[in-house]
Amino acid sequence: MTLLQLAGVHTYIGQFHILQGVDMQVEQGGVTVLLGRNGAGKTTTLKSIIGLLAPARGRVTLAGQAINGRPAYEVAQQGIGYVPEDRGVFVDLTVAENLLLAERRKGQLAARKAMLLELFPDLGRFWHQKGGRLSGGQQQMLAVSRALVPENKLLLIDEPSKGLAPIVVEQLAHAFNQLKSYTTIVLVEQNFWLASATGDRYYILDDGLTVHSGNMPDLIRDTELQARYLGVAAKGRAV
Amino acid sequence: METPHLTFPLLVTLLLNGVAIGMLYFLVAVGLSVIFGLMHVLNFAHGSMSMVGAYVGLAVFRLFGDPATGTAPTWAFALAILGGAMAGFVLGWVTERFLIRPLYKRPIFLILLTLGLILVLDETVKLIWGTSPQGLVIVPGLSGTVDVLGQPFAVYRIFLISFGLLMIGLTWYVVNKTRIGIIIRAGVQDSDMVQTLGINVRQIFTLVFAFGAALAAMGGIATTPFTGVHPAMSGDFLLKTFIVVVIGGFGSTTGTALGAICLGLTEQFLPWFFPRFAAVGPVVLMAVVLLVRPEGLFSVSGRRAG
Amino acid sequence: MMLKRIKADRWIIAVLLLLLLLPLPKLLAANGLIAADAVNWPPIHYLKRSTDVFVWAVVAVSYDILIGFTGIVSFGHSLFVAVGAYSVAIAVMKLGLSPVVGVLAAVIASALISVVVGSLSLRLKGHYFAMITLAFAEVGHVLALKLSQWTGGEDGLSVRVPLWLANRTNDYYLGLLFLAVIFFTVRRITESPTGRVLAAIRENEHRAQALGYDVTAYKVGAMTISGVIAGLAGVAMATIDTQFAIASLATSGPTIEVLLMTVVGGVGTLTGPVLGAAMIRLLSFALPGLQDISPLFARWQLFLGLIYVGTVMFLPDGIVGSYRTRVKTAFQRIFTPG
Ligand SMILES: Nc1ncnc2c1ncn2[C@@H]1O[C@H](COP(=O)(O)OP(=O)(O)O)[C@@H](O)[C@H]1O
Ligand SMILES: [Mg+2]
Repeated sequence: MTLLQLAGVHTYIGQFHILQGVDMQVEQGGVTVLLGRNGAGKTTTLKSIIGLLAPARGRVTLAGQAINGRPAYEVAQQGIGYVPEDRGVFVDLTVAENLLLAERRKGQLAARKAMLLELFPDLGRFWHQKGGRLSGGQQQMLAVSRALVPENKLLLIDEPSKGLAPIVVEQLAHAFNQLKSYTTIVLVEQNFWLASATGDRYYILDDGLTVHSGNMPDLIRDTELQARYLGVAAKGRAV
Repeated sequence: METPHLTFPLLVTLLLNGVAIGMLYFLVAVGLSVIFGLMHVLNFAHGSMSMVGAYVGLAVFRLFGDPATGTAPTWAFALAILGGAMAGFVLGWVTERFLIRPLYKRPIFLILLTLGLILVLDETVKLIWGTSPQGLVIVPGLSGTVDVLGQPFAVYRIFLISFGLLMIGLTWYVVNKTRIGIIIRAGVQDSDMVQTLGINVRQIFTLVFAFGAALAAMGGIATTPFTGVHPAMSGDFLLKTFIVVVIGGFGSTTGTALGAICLGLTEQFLPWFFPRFAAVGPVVLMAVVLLVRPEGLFSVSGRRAG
Repeated sequence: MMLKRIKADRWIIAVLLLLLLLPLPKLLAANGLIAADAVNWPPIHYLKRSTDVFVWAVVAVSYDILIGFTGIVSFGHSLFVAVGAYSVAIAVMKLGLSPVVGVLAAVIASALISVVVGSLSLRLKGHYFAMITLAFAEVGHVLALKLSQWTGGEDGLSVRVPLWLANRTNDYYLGLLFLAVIFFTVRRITESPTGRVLAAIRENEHRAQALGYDVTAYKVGAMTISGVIAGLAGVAMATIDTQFAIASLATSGPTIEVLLMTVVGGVGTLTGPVLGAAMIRLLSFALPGLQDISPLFARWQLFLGLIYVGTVMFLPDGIVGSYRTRVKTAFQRIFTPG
């Protein structure tokens, strides 16, 4: 079943025409990786889905329902969790408060806590620390956990590996693979290792357009395609 | 000019006075601080909203008072505070919902709008209540003085200190211990991110604006036993609010409380030590803090709430 | 080129001519060219109020340099008006100097103060900048009140002007000349390369910085030009308009009024602020007179406030700005092929 669909999405930031017709179809379950070099429009695509940016043209549908043009909080309530590029951890809030904030019903965090701690055992140690005191890796785990507090159909995760140590990236890969059975993930990733370790399908964006899509194993074999669109990141850095 | 000797009991009195006045400043200023931290709106009409609260409060007070003597039972003052606060709440609600909201994307026009509101509110007050100052007689339970180290100290100031501490405690509780408070503190940092968690931040904006105006209105009415009500209040309040919030740091309730007490004490002590600078001292202090430490004297890291 | 310019300016030229011609008989009479008692039109108060409009229009134009052409919102602008007014008032009344020396003093004082205020405060952004300008103006206000041996304290300083300035007809023409000179000078500045840098700063400060412009220096420059012009307007106020210097000039009240003029007329249009100044000043003369009709008009400033809020909400480009866009879109509609 198609969970998320983007059809001819055009998005402007101020005067600039950033997305110039993005098409995407995400089936339920698994990880869809969104690739493309810096400035290709990956972040803008995620923001256009969650509603932080309003597409000027085109349609975004979640499980058949149009969500484009709706305010971000309404889109999120449809069952989308968003982990932004800068992680969006609230530095003056404790880990517990950061997670509590994501509750859409009372008690959701309590019900989910065991699962989160199993996924990221570190979080338990920092439960009452301010978000600002966590390391980058811990912040990323918190940001992902926060998207897991309510029952989200879809997670949008923007470059989680950015600036993190290889060991943490491995931990994230493990977590994402575990989450596959539970939710659907759209993952923006420049780290080709993480992308190939978790991805099932891929889309490649270039200059605000979807230029390629297919199954991840095919892309892993196609080094020419990697070189053309993914530049440096396509060298397939081993961790 | 000869300065009278500053004795220890006098020092204590000045200290207590400063704290009492500081409580008033806290009430008036805290709304502006949180509103700015959360929605980046500098509400220039904040002082005017405080003044409207004072006038409405006085009107409520008079409803139950004796027109001949101007006195009223103690509970009439409680009702006055409540009535003023309600007027402030409604005013804040309507302002945010219908005037501010359409302009969030145009920050310069937001400033212009709140400036225009000053004219509208101040002139409306003058239209309804006239321009001459009006007094409010302190109700029986709160009048008179008590003895503090041999110096008379007004009961009303004790009331102010207790009421102020109560309100500081309440805001602290709401901001630090409730879900709304978590949303406010998170929103001060990044309200877009709060939205993406499924929270309608706009609703919280309206609520905060309304409560902020209500607190300012309470501050307005609580001032009247000292100064009476008069149309120049709005400008006075606005300037004091700016001073407090700049000293304390925008968006922080604790900072606002500290900034308010700081200003109260400065105003009490400056005339004793530097009488020539008493009038400009606080404004200069504000300018210096803005230039040297724009995030406020009491903030640990950039902008923070709590 | 010249012709094109004149054609584009035909409205401005027409209004200028009209204003020039109206009190001509009075001018001739005032200078003894025709019998004085033969002329009693236009009435004295017309001349007085027009002069007042001219002076405030200059303040509004100077403010437009900041808000319209550089994108700075200052809340202390009328401080410079006060500085100009006090400079000439103190020079003439306290030091017994000629008004010409007063004008020089005003230019120097307002230039110095705007450079100091500007370079201190322009490091701050947005709201913080607005607040610090408010603080500076408040310091000026308090100083004007406290240094009463120089400023007359609460009472202010009344300026005794030379006889030829005490003549309202002469004042009128001086005011008109003043406005015309300032208006065209400022327009020249905004159309110069410097003006285009200022516009670039208004549109996108970071980009202007990235292009290698010293943004702060340009802003301080804009503030100084604007401050000196406001100072000159203060001189005009103290000599040909109210002939008075008063501390309340430095408060936020007059600044808000100037902001109102600029916004209602149209930010960044120059003609808009002039039109706005005329509207607001004339309204503030006319509205109180309507008190016989309704006591509501005793609070005429309420109407200014409502106009202000209405403009901000529904006509953000102001009268002139909206007129221009409408004419432009109409043109485009007619001349766009297809
Ligand atoms: N606020 C902005 N103003 C102007 N251009 C922007 C802004 N944000 C992003 N862009 C531009 O939009 C393009 C796409 O950005 P983004 O979606 O962040 O790319 P990616 O996430 O793929 O690296 C880039 O060229 C970037 O320069
Ligand atoms: Mg990105």
